[in-house]
Parts: sequence; structure tokens; C-alpha cells
Amino acid sequence: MKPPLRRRSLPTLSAAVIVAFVSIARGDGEKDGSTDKALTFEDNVSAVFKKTCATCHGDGKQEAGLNLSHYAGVMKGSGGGEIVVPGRSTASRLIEVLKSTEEGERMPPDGERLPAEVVSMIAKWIDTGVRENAGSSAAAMRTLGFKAVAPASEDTPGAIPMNLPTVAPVATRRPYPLLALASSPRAPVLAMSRYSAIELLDPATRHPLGTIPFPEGEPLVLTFSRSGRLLLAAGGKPVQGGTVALFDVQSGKRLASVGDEPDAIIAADISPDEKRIAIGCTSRLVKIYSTEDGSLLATINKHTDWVNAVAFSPDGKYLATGDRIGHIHLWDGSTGGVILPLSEHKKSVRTLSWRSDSGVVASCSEDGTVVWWDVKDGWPLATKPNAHEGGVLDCRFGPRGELATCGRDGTVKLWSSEGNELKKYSIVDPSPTQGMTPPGTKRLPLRVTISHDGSSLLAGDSTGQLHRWDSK
Amino acid sequence: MRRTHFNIEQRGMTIVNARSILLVLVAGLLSAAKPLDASDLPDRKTTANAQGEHPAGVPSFRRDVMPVLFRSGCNSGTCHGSARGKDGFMLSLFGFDPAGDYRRTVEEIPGRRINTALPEESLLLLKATGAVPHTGGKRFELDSDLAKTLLAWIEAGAPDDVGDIPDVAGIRVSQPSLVFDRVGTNESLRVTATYADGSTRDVTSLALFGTNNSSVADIDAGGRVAAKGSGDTTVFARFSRFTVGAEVIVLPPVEGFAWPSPRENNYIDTLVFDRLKKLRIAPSELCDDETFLRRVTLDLAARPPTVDEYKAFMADRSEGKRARRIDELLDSEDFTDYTTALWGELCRVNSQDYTGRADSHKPANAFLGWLREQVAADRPFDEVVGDMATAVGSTNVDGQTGLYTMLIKDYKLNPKVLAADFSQLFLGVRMQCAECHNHPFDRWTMDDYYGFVSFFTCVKRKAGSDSRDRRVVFDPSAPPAMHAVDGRPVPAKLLGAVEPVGGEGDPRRALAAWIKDPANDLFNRNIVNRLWAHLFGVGIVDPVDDFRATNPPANGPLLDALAARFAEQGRRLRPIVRDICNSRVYQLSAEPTPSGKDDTRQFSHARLRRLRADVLLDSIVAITGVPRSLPNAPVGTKAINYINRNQYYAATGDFVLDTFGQSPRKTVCACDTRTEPSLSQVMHLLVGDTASPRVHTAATKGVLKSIIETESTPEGIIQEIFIRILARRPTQDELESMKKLAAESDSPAAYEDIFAGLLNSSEFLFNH
Repeated sequence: MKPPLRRRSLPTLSAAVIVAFVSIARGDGEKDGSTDKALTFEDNVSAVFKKTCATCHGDGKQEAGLNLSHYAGVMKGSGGGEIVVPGRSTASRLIEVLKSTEEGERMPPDGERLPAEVVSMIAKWIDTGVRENAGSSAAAMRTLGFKAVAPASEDTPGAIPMNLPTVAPVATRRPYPLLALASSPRAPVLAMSRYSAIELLDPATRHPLGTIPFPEGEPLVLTFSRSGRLLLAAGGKPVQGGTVALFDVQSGKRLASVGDEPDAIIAADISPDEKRIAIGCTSRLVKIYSTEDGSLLATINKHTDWVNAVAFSPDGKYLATGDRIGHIHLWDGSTGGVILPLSEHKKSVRTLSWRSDSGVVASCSEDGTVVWWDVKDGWPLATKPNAHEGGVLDCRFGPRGELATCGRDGTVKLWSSEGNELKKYSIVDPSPTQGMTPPGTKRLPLRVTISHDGSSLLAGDSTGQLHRWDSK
Repeated sequence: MRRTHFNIEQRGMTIVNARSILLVLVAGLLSAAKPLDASDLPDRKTTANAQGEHPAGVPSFRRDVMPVLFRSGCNSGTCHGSARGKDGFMLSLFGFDPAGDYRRTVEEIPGRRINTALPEESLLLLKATGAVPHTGGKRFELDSDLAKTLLAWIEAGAPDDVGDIPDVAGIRVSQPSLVFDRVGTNESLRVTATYADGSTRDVTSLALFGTNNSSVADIDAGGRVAAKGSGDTTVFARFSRFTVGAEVIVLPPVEGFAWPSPRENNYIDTLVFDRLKKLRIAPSELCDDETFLRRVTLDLAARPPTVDEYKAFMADRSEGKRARRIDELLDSEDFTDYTTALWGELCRVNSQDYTGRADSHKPANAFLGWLREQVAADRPFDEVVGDMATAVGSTNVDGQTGLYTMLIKDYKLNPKVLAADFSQLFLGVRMQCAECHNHPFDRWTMDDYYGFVSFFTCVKRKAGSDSRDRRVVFDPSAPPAMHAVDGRPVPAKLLGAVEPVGGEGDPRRALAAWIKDPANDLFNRNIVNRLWAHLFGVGIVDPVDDFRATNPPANGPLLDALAARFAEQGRRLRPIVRDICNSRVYQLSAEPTPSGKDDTRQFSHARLRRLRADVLLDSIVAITGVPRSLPNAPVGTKAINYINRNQYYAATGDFVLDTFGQSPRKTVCACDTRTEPSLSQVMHLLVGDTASPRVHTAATKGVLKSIIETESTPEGIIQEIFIRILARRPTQDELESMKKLAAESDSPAAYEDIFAGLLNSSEFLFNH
């Protein structure tokens, strides 16, 4: 759905047309006369809005019906009408409230006012034609330059990184917690998060295969596409910004970036046909983006708390989403239509993982429970109420229907396809290592995964360490 | 900063110079010396801020970090300390649950709130310093000591405390009392915390401050007290779970003030006058005999003095007539009725018990009758309360069991409600806060609360001999109350005690014994304060049922002396009432002195008090001589003796009583009795059927008619009317203007108007 970008009354329209001409002319002049780049929403203004206004006028909350998180929202204006008049900052409500000192009118309503130079920058942006991005003065649809391909047949091997460019590591005081971990479903490739980077390695030998930069901040979610060709990374910086990026596994090249959230993205998945990306946000929304043009296809506002987990079924029919108060919903994977609520968890749902046949989705929660759900009718096939004392942090199916879990009890467990506990490993230090776990801190297994052939069980912990066990 | 060069194994220590390394090598401690790498190089910020008092140089979560959250208001009730947290992040209110706070801050969402790899990127720090949008705004600057403590802790890996961290055992302020000689001056308070291990620490920069009256004295975040206006108040410092106050007196200008040196009748006068002298407030004159008689009769007998009583008292010229009058009133049936009514009201006696049928007349009669017997005999009040507390038996027969069916009208005998009501009523302590968290403004903890609840978990109600009778029984098998945080059983424990009461059988016996315990001053102070508030219209602690650290008495020595005297007199009510009524303070005029006109809490003058609804109704009946029947009560029942027996009428049972703010007995709160004026009260007295028809009856065939017939002159008639209604003679001006009225029109009708007018006057509606 493309929101109406220009919808205004006749006199304003003519004014806008005139202004558009003026601004084009002026833009040309600038090109000739100076090297200054034109101010645009994406490059200049959006960041200000995101930092200052997004709490009240963002995707989560739209006070006065105003959403400043995207260009269309700015142009649509608030319940009281337009907030920018292209070419006329003096007639724009936005500038009026930013400059106002009156209680009840001034924006932001409390705290420090925007610096004068920022306000004049926004005014200049309005006066120079309210550009969305550097590409054009008229709003054009973004394109990610990405083409979905049919999933590779089961016989061909999955992509393996080759000759990735070297990336200088970001120095941190101590190793960054291993917040995300994923295994390619088709090849011996493991992806794990570092600060501002993603490391690729061989799950069996831990031989490094290369590093992919993620300058947006912390990759909180890593997942490979079903074909093994793409790696999705989502994250950002808490309360500063969030993005999803798609990488080509073989070359390490960034193919696309989707979403522009005011907070780090905490859940994401890519559909098996690689055409859609679903993200879960702290703004309580699930958003589904097209990978082809980056457009927002659907927004799900059913959840009433942070959306901690989103997962497409391997056959693409379903999308499962889970939130921080323990609710799980099942949606139609292509239309976003509601199918089933899955209610069992009493506390935050941490992860959702689909079995490769799409018949079962597993959920794990801070209430310590792991549930294997029958997707057909939404009933639990198996429930393990005390899988990990204190809370389950992650769960992941292996290729043969086995499930790996980890939790706050400091253990990693492997469950059979029938839901019986097969193995249990503790990662708690027998004697705390200097520098790894200072006294008084805990080493928690945060993420688990199973390699594509089911031979390795892997876990990442809060001290940044990767653990591996043979799981055959 | 204590950095020992030799002790390199200690956590958080960093080898900083070549000399130390050399020493290490020389000492041969190679095994412990780990190679230096870039990330281990000392961070200037950390070392500069190394927490001097902490042995390892790393801030402790409980000792250093939680006070930062406390001081910055993070864990206050309106922010993350609210029961559901705020914006997804929850802390325990004022930090009563440190383990939970650590878990939620550090471990709940790994890497987000606390980022030990890039400490400056921790959301906790970014939010608090306003670097990212935060609903609570910026709490402190990035270069503040508060931020430095957080950063140092995160840089050390955000560790939880290992082993026992000494808990705060108490706090004190540098000056318990501040006296400012004039407005506009300042003085600083320091706050010192004492820990369980005996160590102390200046926590001024980590404490929170508050004032009870900012128009007298204000206190800023640094503990600086500023004198704003003359008067007295209390400022507070809060740290950990402790709150201490410092009394502040701001003196009015000394010019024009002279202490009048009034006569002192007893210890009450000594203590009140001490305080007034200190505050440079001159007490009012002694009130005249007419005012005294009306005041004391309304207060002790719940009615105005009769004409005969008035004449006899005024005729008496002898010494000590006021004291004799007080004794006579204390011995009267009226005093017994009134005291019974006041306690019956607080104990919520009426025919509505928990069955919801409102037909429990017999249990109500039994309870009220039992209370009256105790009051009539002036039984020690600790024994009265003890009997109620330990009651078992039939509600039809054993009146004291009424506490368990009348006080708690819920169908289920909820021990939590019972415990909260019991402590509010008999100890003056509101415990409810501590159900979910330690009391934020007092010393009570959740342990205190659940321990107190456990006194009542063993009380059960069973069907009795008839459908309205209940048997209150002790159930020895009942488990104690469960702690809300960790679910552990908390056996019955007295407030403030550490160990449970223990022993076999009914724990309520230990509670009853504690009421009498000389070491327990809560009961004595509460009862004398309630008596005081009844006679002055405001308690020494006010509200009377809200004793807490942050609501200190207006005159501490006075409350102490009254409580001591109460204990000494066997905890009987009448001796204390007698002491108070005989004091000069009780007998002061309502007309304030120039220095006393702003005084509302130091008893420098009598306070105007509107009559309670029931007393007002009884007074109108007594003055007009025309009875009023109350619903479902025998004719002639006084309003103070009336209890609601009406099934369908929820409030007091009578609409006039409702209008004038009679307590509907919905709660044990003393605030249920209201004396605020309202328009409907004025309208009711003017045109309603309570006053005018009675006045008319009095004029046509009652008391007014006989006055007019008996008295020969208009002066005589007007004077009799004044004495009857206002218990005083008219002034010369009043007499003249009323005489004119009577002369102008038809005489009987004019006297009826005068009678009705006086009955509607504020002077009649108020005790003064």
C-alpha cells in the first residue's frame, strides 16, 4: 500500500507547483554554484525526528495522528492538517511549534528545545522543496536492487563464503555477548554476532570464513534464508536506530537494507521465497517489508508488548510472532491474515523456531517452558514446563526435528523429536576464568543452533564465547 | 584511593606503572601476573572514581549502584518502581528487592540495558543522561558522580555482589533540630548511613530530601534547608529503606512579642506552652465560663448544656467549679453513651455483617452492649482491645467477637484486611503499603506486614446457633501468611520484631500481651492521640490513624507525656480525658492572639469545630424538646446511640445524618466522619423538616411557648432563648436589636423567628 503523498486543497497545490519549480531552479543553481548537497529527509531531517520526536510521533505512538518516522507520514501531517508547506517554512506548522516558547504549543513539549541551527536546517529543507532523498525532489519509491531467486534445489550445495574482504574489529572493553547465532540450513556455515560485525565460520572446525561489517551496531538477530544463499542480520542501537540487512553469503556483499526503526530491531525473519522480511519491534508492531522495493507491505498491531520473535514457516504458509507478555499469534505468511492465537506462556516469549516440515513450531519463554505446537489446530503437542529453571533463552530445531535449547540455568539441552531430553551441557565455569566472568557476573548461554547436518550443537554465551558439542 | 601495588590478584585492580610490574616480577608472582593488553590499561575515568570505601575498587550493586537509582528517582512509584514498571523496565519500589533489581537491570535483556563490552553504550546510562529519548527525561549529567558510579560498575563487568554486603542499618541527619532566627537563612544537613557491620558513610549526595511544609522550610537536593516563613515543620532525608526527620523552627520576628506567662494547670500546659514559647506564639486568653460549659458538655456529653445546668454553673462562684463539672460529666451516662458510640463507629458496628442481609441485630446489640459495659466500668483499654483481639465464641452472646464479623464485613475473613484494619484502628499505623513493598515512608517492611497478618490467619468463622449467629473460632491448623516476593511462610511476628512470637496455641494472645507491653508505645500513643483529637478537633499526630516517620507529632514531648500518663493510670480513658479537659490549653478562647492567628497545629487557641452529625441532631432535639425517630429504632433513641439496622439503606441509615457527614462505617478510617459544610446542610436546616417544624412545635405548644408565658419581659424571653440554644446570655447589642424585632411585629411569631435564626447560626453549629 502506498500512502497518498500529496493531498491538499487547490490553492496550496498551485503554490506547491510554483514552489516546486522554484526549488528545481534553485537546486540547479546550487549544483552549478556550489558543491553543497541538497537537504533531504533521509539524509538530514529523519535523524532529527527519530531522536527527538519518535517517542510520541513514531510508529508506536502517533500523538495527534502524526507519524514522523517516514516521509509519507511527515507529508500527510497530523490530525490538525499539514505540518509542512513545501517551499514555505514560515507557513509550516512544524517550524512554528519548533520555534514556539509557549507551553502547550512548543515541541518537544518538555526538555531542551532543538538548537537553532537544527531548526533552520529543517526550515531550509522545507524551503528547498521537501526532498525525500538525494535521488529526486519528487518522492520516488526506493528500490533495494534486489531480485528474489527461486530456492535452489535440494541437491545443490549451499553458499559458502569465499574471499571476504577483511574487516577491522571494533575494540571493546571485553568480548561482546554473543547475542545472535545462526547456522546455514544448507552448508557448513555458522554466523555469529560481534559488535558492529558478523563473523562467519565453520561450525565443526570453527575455522573462520570471514567477517561482514554491520556498522548499524549490534546484530541482535541472524538468520539464513532457506536456500542458504542469504544471511539476514537485524539489530541496531537501542533507542537510537534499527535496521535489517541482507547479505550474500558467498561474497559477503550487502544486498539490501530494509526498515528504519527508532529502536534496535529485536526480531526478524525472511520468507522462504526471499520476497518478504518480517520484523518485530519494541514499538509492539510487526512489519512486513518487500525485499524487492523495500516497501512496507503490512503492519500487524495485535501485540501489546515488545515483539520478541517472528518466524516464517519453511513452507512460507505461516508467520508466527511472539511477544514479551507471552502471547503468540499465527498469521497467514503471505497476506498477514490472522489464523490462531497460541496461548500457554506466562512470561516473555524469547524465540520461535519452525521444524523443517512446517508442521510444528517450537516456542520458548522466560517462564521456563518450551512448547511444541501443532500448527494445524494450535494445540501443544508437548510442553516442558521446567525445561530451564529461571527461563528459556533460545530454542532452535535441527535438521532431523531435534530441538536445542538454552536457558538461565546455564545449560544447553538437546531434545529428541519426540520432546525427550537427550543431552544436557553446562557452560558454567567450574572455576571462574580471569577476565571472562568477573566475580558476581554470570555466564549465560544466550543462543543455540544446530549445524546443517545435525553434527554440531553450538551455543553462544554472554561473555562472547562460542561452545560446541558433537551432537550425533 | 587505596591501590596496593603488591596485591595484584585483587579484582578490579590494574597494574599501572612499571614499578608495580617490577615489584611483581621481583616478588615472583608470575603465575598471577597476566599480560597487559590494551583493554586492561587503566581507564582514567575509572581510577579517578575508584570507590574509595569499597575494598576492591569496584562499585557494589547494593551499596553504590542502587543508591544511584534511588537518588535519581528511577525506582520511585511513578517511574520504574511502579508495580508494573514503566515502559517495560521494572525496578522494585525504592529498591526493596535488590536481587530482582540486579536481574532485571543486567540479565533480563542481555546486552541492552547494560553493555559491558562498550560501557558508554549501556542504555541505562544513555537514558539516564538524556542521550536518547527517555520518558523520564535526563536524570543526571554524564560527568556527574552518579553517572561515574554507574559507568565504573559497568566497566567492571556489572557484577552482582558476592557474599554478604552489609545492609544499611540506619541513617541519621547531622542536626535533629534546626532553629532559624529569621526567614531567608539557610543551613545544610548531612546524612550519614550506618551499616550492619558498624561502618558509616556520608550519603548526603545519595539521599532524597523532602519537607512537610515548603512554605515554612524548603530543602534542596543537596540537603540545604532554607527558612521560608515562620512556623514549624519537619524536613526529611531518605536513604535505603530509612527516613529520618529533622524538626525545623522558623521564628517570627522577636519585635512585639512578649510571652504572657499564663498560669499552668497541669503537665499538658507546661508542655504546650514550652513549645509555644519556643515558637514565639502567645496562647489565647482563658475562655469564659459560658464558652467552657458549652464546649465541655458538647465534647463529653454530646449535647448542649441544659438551661438548669447553665444556671447552676453560672451561679456557682466557688473555686474549682470547672473541674467539678468535668468530673460530673465524666460520670454521666451521656459520656458512656458517647464514648461507646465513637468506638462503635470505628469498629463499624451495625446490623450489616458479612452475610449481606443486614439483619444481624443481635450480634450488633451484643457487640455494642459489650463495648458499653467496658466503657461504663472504665475498664483498662488495653484489656478491652486484648479481649477483642483474642475473642472466640458466639457473636450473639460474646460481644467482643463482633470485631471479627463487624470490622470485616467481607464474606471472606481476609486476614490481610483484618490485620491492616486492626493496626490502623488500635495502633494508628497504616500497614497496607507493606503488602507489596516495604513501606516507602516508614520503617515497616514486608516481613512486618506478613508477620502481623499471621496473627489473624488462624481466625475462622462458622455457622452458629441461629442463622445470624456466627462462631468465631481459633483454627490451629491454619498456615501463616505467605510473603509476596518469595512465597515463604512468615509466622506471626510483632511489628518491628525480628523473631516470631512462637509458642503453642493462639498467636493472638501474644498480640494482646504486646498491647500492654511497656516497651510498645504504639498503642498508648494512638489512644491518647485519638482522645486529644476528639477534644481539640486535630490530633497531635494528624490524621490520627496515620502514625509514621514522615508524619511526626506536632509536639513530641506532649504525646510522650500523655502516653506515659495513660500507661500510669492503668490505660483507663477517663483519667486522660480529665487531665486534658482540666488543662488551661483545653480551656483557651477560640479568639487567637496576633502571634497565634496563623497557628493551626500548636493548640495556641481553641479550634472551631462543626458539631458531628449525630450530636447536631441530638442537640436540636434537646433544645426544641421535640423528639425525632430514627429508622428501625425505638422512639427516643439518641442519634449517638443509633446504629444502622436498615437492609436497603447503605450509608448511615438516616438521611439527615448522611447530609451532615455521619460516618457510614464503610472503613475504619477516622476520616469517614466528615464535618465539612455543604450547601445541602444549609438548605436542610433552613427549610428541611429537622429544624423549622420543631421550632414551630416548640412555639405553639412546647418549650418556646412556655418561655413566652413564663417570662414577663421581652428581655427575659430573648435571654432564655439565647441560654437554651447558645448557652450564653445575649450581648447588649443583640438584645437591643432583637427587642426591636419583637416590638415591630406580632410577638410570638417574632420569637419563633429568633429561635429559628439562632438554631441556624454558625455559633450553634460549631463548638468553639
